[in-house]
Amino acid sequence: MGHFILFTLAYIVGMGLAVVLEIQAAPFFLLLTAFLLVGSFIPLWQRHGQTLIEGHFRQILQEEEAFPVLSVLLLMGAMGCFGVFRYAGALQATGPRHLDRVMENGDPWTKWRVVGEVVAEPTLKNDFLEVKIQPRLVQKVVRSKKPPKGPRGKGKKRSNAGSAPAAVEAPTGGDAPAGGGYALSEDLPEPEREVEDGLVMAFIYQETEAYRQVKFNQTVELTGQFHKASTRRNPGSLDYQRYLRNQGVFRTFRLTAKSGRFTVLAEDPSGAWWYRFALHLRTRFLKVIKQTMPYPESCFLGGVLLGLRGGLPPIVASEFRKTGVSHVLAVSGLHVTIIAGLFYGIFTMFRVPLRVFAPFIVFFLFTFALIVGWPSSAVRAALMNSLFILSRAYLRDYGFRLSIVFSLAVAAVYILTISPLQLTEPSFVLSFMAIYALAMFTDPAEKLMRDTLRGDGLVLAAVASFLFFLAVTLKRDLVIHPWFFTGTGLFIVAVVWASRRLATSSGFQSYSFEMLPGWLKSFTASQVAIFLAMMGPLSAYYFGSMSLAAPLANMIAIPLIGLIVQLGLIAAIVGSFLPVVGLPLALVLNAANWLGVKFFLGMAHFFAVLIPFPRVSQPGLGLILGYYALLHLYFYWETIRDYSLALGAAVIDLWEDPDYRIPLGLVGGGLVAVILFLGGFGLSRLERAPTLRVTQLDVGYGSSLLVEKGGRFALIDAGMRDGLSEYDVGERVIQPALSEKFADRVDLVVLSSALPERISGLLSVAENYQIGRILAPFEIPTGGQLIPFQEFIKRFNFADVKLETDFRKGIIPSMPPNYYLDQAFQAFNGLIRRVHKSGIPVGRLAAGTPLPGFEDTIEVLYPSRAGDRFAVYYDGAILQIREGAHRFVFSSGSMYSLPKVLPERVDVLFLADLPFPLDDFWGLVSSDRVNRVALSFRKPSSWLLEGYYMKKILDGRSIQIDRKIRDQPGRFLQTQSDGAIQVDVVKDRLLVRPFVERKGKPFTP
Amino acid sequence: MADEQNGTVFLIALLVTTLVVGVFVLIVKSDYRVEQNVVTNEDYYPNVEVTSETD
Repeated sequence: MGHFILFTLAYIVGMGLAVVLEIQAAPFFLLLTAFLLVGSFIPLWQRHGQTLIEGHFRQILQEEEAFPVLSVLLLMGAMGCFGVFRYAGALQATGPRHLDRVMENGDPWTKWRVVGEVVAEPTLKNDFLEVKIQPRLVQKVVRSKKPPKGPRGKGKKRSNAGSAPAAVEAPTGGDAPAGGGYALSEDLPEPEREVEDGLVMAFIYQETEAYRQVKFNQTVELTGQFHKASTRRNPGSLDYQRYLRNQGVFRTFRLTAKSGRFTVLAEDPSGAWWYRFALHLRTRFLKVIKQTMPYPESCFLGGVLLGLRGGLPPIVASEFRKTGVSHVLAVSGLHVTIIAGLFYGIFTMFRVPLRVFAPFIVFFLFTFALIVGWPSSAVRAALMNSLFILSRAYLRDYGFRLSIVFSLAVAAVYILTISPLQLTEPSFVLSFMAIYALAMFTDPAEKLMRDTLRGDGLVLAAVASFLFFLAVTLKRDLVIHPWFFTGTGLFIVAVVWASRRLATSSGFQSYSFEMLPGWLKSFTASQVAIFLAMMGPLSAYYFGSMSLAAPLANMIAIPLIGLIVQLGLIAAIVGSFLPVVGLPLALVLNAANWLGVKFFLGMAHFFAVLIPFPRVSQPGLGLILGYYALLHLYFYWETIRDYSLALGAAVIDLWEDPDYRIPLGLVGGGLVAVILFLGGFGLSRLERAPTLRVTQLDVGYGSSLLVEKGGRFALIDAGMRDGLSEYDVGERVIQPALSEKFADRVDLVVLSSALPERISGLLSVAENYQIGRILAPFEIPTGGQLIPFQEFIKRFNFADVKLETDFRKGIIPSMPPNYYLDQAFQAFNGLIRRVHKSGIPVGRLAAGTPLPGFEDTIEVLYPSRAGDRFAVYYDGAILQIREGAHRFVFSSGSMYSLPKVLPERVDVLFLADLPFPLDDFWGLVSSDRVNRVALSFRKPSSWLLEGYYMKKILDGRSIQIDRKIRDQPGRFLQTQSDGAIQVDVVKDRLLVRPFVERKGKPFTP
Repeated sequence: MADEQNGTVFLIALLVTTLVVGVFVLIVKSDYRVEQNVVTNEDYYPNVEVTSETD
């Protein structure tokens, strides 16, 4: 078992190296694997050659040291190389019939027709379904100049996406081209191509008929544009392309009322019987849940029991995240173990022998993993529980005891060999590390608590914990202090140290952790272990956040979820299969369960409101590995020391033996060479730190520019928080970027205008980051007194002709006349509230205003003086950013003032909006004053500007700009197509990098 | 053996308590009925259709 664990470790390390070093030479590593395998056999042959010839394998296995150390080391090397081969090979697995290859000869506007099968049950997201489709035939659709006649031609019917009834397109043998295709629905001169690999992810929106029709196993036809998912668009944001690719998805397709067409061609009852059985169970269970539990509690039960995460109100999902209990919704090992325990209990209750029921439990567990969608966490848990139950049933008599780490290794090898790309998926890592934490750190944590929480030590620890939570609850801004996490770490270390001292020296021993019942001690210790070795570090690493409430909330959540899942499962089985009384009985069971769910939701709400949820800087891989090394050293110091000494002694012994000196030298030399090579390779990939970095973030409609200089951060505008869609740029773009950049505070914020798409994103940023100062070319009240809409209009001119005409006549509406102005009004009042609550210093911005911390870097060029009423489209601030000989200018779209203040030569002109008047802009950029232009713009959601006069103006302007920019791709960058635009000054060199790689027209910095 | 017996007792006690609490909820909360639940869940996985009767 020990050797297997070592080989697994080497396999994972090999894969990890392939990820970190982006190794691509898969065949080379396969060759290396073969060499090392053969090499590992030589010492084995030297020792056991004769026994092997005689075929006495058992005799070898019974020896105490059956495998020579050298063989083990070489085998570990072979496993490591095989890991590299598997990961690198999986990344490049795109043959000529792969979807990615077939569709690569089209641009984003190319229309395709795809026939394929729905290979998994659709997943509900907020207002759409995610449907995985395995394409079989792909065909490029070329539009004919004359629309074809008939009901399926171009025209109104085509835009009515998804409204086609099922089986509209019946297979018609006569029209089907070679290759067994279906009838063509368009003018299609290009031949069909068969596809064998690569999935399509279709997003089917609520407003379409297909939303209610689509099911697993259907053969469907999709017509429309297929997109390659976006890569990472901003620093710290998700690489969606990589995320989908890890699931085998290479193209996405959107079906809305206006785009795409979807037709069900056939209902195919085929497919693996086990999967169909699992889906049948899932559907029946879901029906029972919908009948016996009201919304939204039904979503919660559907999530924890069937892995159906959709449908939960966003506010509840957010509260779960804040309290660190979201893991209950990702059906995990916890659920599988709960279900295994339930079946184990039921069979035992009826006195069925373990040898008889063990295979049934294994069957149920894997069926459950299928029901919940076969996520790696459930597969891992099903595999581990099955190994445990089977070994207990059939191998116990032989003295076999299964180690958790061994079964974890088996599960890891299985999952990573089947799908190597899972290695980088947070769900896989979190699931495995949770079990690793439980296996490795529960006992040491319990020992630590026994030694610490006793008598005076217990009193000190309890008082210190209480004071800590009291402090962060009463003074919530404490968590955004730059030193909060360092201070908390030191506080915990000091309290543990002092409690331990008090526990050993104090005579007062009446109360201790040891007096708790055994199960409670183990449970508490396991929670500590999970927080220390999984939740704390990995939540920071993957999500840049850490839930302070998690240790407390999970003490309640985990026992409660056990109860909810077990009752829910019993109710689902009873309601689905018991005739006549089944449903009423399920209703009674779930009525009681409803109380549990209500309590769970209430508990999450309580902790989410009470205890703040701070963002943390996202640690790099090196820091995380360092943390785990320290954790192991702390809890396993003696074991590690003993092993190291024994290993050292063994190596010295071998070295002294002349027979082993040469092979050992070779292995040692090889090891040093590999370390040097990897070190050098890694160093060559390190970027040189820039002296100045300016990043125009891709915030959609709006703007945000992040300036980094000497460890200080300035944010110029902060994008938008859309109240309707609840998409918050501050939360989704700016905070992850700050977190990735290890920013612990924002030293300066400049708001260039009062437009909502520039200021409302700041509100959530200010909740999680300390802000040094806010400067704006308009007044921000600090008293916390919100202003009415009439006062808002007196302060700001939105250039709305009707509003302005009325204003001059003294007529001002008391309510915002449209959604956009409502957003602007709410954003400004939100800013007033936030500035007051957090006590952020604010100031007026005008030419010559010094920018604290950035005096030598950022200069205000415009407005020259502060006026009484701020014109949001004309008075926007213009700033110059400089480093050495390089000049950058940030400006809003207005070209009325820019030419007057623009320096003689500008390397990059950052525009916060579409420029206007356009002629003035073209005049400016055609001169040699501006080298490059980076434009932050994307058309806003249709509802945002509904009823606002800018809606049509923006449409016209964006079309004109697009046409012109397309001709000069080297000079113009747009966040819409290029993602974030990063400009670095490195030792007087200027490096411009768009985050999204340009295809076809590469950008030359 | 004692553990197994404890587990059995726990399971039975859990089921009995659940049934009692469930009945209590149904008595107190008059809108907790299959028909109402189906209505509130109309938009939750609409492709899985349910009626207020047993399938």
